[in-house]
Amino acid sequence: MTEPLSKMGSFEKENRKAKRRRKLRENTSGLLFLLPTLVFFVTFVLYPMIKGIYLSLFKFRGRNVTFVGLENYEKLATDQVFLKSLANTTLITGIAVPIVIVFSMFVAINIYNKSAAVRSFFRGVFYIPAISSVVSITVVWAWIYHPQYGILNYLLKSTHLINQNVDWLGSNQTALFAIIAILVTTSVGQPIILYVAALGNVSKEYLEAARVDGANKWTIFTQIIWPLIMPTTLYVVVVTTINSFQIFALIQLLTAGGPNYGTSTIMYLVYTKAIVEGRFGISSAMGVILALIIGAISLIQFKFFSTDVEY
Amino acid sequence: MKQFKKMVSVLLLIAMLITGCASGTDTPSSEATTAAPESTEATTEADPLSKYTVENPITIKFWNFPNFTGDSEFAKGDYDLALIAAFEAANPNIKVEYQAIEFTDGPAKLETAIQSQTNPDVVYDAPGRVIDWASKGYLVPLDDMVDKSTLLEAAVTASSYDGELYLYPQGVAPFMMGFNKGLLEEMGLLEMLPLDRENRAWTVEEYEALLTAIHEKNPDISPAILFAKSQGGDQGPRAFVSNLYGSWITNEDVSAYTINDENGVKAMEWIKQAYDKGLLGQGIALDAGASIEAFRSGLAASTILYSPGLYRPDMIAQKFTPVLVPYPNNTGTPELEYLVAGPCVFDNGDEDKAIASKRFVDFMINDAEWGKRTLMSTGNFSAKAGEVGLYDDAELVFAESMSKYFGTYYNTIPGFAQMRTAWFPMVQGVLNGDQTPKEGLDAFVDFANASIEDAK
Repeated sequence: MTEPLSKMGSFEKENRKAKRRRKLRENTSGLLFLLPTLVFFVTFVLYPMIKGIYLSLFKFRGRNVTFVGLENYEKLATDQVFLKSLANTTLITGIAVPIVIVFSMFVAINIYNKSAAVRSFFRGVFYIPAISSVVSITVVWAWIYHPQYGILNYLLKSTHLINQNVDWLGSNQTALFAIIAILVTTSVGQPIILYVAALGNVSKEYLEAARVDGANKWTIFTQIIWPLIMPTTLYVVVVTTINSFQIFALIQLLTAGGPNYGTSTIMYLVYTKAIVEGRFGISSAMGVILALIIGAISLIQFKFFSTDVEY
Repeated sequence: MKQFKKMVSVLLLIAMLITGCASGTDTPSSEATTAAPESTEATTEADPLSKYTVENPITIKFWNFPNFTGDSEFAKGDYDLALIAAFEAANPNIKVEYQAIEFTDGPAKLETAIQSQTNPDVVYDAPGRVIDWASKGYLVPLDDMVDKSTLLEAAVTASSYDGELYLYPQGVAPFMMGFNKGLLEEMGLLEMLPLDRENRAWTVEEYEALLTAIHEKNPDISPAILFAKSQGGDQGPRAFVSNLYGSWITNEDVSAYTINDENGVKAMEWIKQAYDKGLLGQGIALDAGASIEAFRSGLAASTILYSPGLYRPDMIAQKFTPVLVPYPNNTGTPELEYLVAGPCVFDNGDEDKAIASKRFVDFMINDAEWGKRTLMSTGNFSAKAGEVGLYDDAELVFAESMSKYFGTYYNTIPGFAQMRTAWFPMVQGVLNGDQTPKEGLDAFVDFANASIEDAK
């Protein structure tokens, strides 16, 4: 009686072992598929992230590196230039992101049901700045904004909207908004394409049913279209926010953070501290703070926009 | 499906292993190329580089800003290549890899390269950056190859750190202002320039009168452009401020910043009112390059930053007639900022490379043919004591005569790079009215003095 039982026991054991081996094989092949991406992720994202946190605890003076703990963070808390740059970055994001969402939605709604040729034309027009070199774009905008020979001053003076030339990038009143205007033009391309695709996927039956029920255009938009394109909006908001927080090239090439830190942003300051001054510790601390802020805002956005999102 | 997955996984693994092995095999082979081959073991003690041959040369990297632009035979960048070719012909066992860098992004490229340990072996630059590198231990001293007694004392002092020479000073040149002589002639205002006076000295009032006259004659032309963006060329505006009423950026022993004294504040006040009148253009968001381009294209009548090095290519191009003029100065004695330029050698942990680099440096400065030619391609004057009168051009002869007014050289002060980040924001703040000249200068000096301590 004991023999068959023990045979059964060993059979189950063998079975479990075989299952485990099979699972291990499957897991191994899955992990192998993940490996190339994982290598890139670890090398170019995870390791630099950890290294950045590590570096932020040191003071760099050439080859003399001293451990200073959280001193860099303490300094940043009272650094007026850093706080001004943080405020500028937040303002740029706070203004640019809503404009990008509203403008790209407006364009998309107006072109998504047009003929393929018209759609392609407008998508192309708005996407060109997104794929153009930032350097070329800034060269063009630098001439548009040039205080003496810029086309913007010329047009405004010709139409008698201004009497004398405005130093668009040199004045406290205009510099930040001039940068935001460029940022918006370079940021709307992708959202327009995404919104056109999202709007094309909204079922016409829902819209027709709503019309039959007497819903006006605004009700159709707010009650049917907006909830259905919410996943796209979430993506656009998160990506545009991250891009706006990381604004660097436009600042570096057009204003170098001026006038008097009026357009200085955290990313620009990270660059200045690390590359120009060789202060890698405090620069890394700024990077860590920026990452934390972006992470926190993205989490809030996910929480806020993803209530109706179903994947 | 499982079979397929398995096959793909195995293939992927094999591919990665092959890639890994391939990169693994790189190391020994590259080591083999840099190590001295056995066949060339017949080395002599006298020449440590004799183990390198034409087939197996030692390679050094040379990065250069557009410094050698004043040679009439070669276009920008080509002179560097010609110099390298001549050096390689004379030293066939040394190969020089050349990379051109620009004044705009070159400093950042250099700093990045230093941090990632991919920096060049030789760079032709000025003490501002070079002494900073020396203080951080990135360079090899050049005392063993230079007889310092043959060089100008001011140039040696500017090129030394802790008593050792880290930049081989080849050229010196004063920074001054430039005026478009032809343009002023057309406007009938040439007589307002102090060209016929001794040392071309002039006062702030005379300068203002000229700027006002230009502005009234043609409001579309900027009388001058006080640029205030980026950091390139910021020595021009600093010298401009310090000269107007006889202030200076630092004290004489270069231990503290002093530009916020009474005369410094007076100078900034004058600048503010001149800017508000439109006499100094709209340069808050323009850098030195844009300002000089405006001058060269006739859109600005003068430039606040000009030098023999900038003048020489303009002289060769002959598109307009620039003249060099010192900054207006109410004390009667100008104090000029000046350029010291020459090559430095990086300590890349390879003694042979340092030796080869020093030979290249020696060739570009002391070779019978290429030494003088290289110096003249920069438009600078010789840093060798007694070597004067290299140029026939009247403007360059005048500029050379101004070397007696060289001020205290402060570009080697600790924290110089950090100080520079605060200079233009201060100028911008004053011009825009965010702060009074005194507030701006006081805040700048506080920051700059703190940067001296912070750098230690």
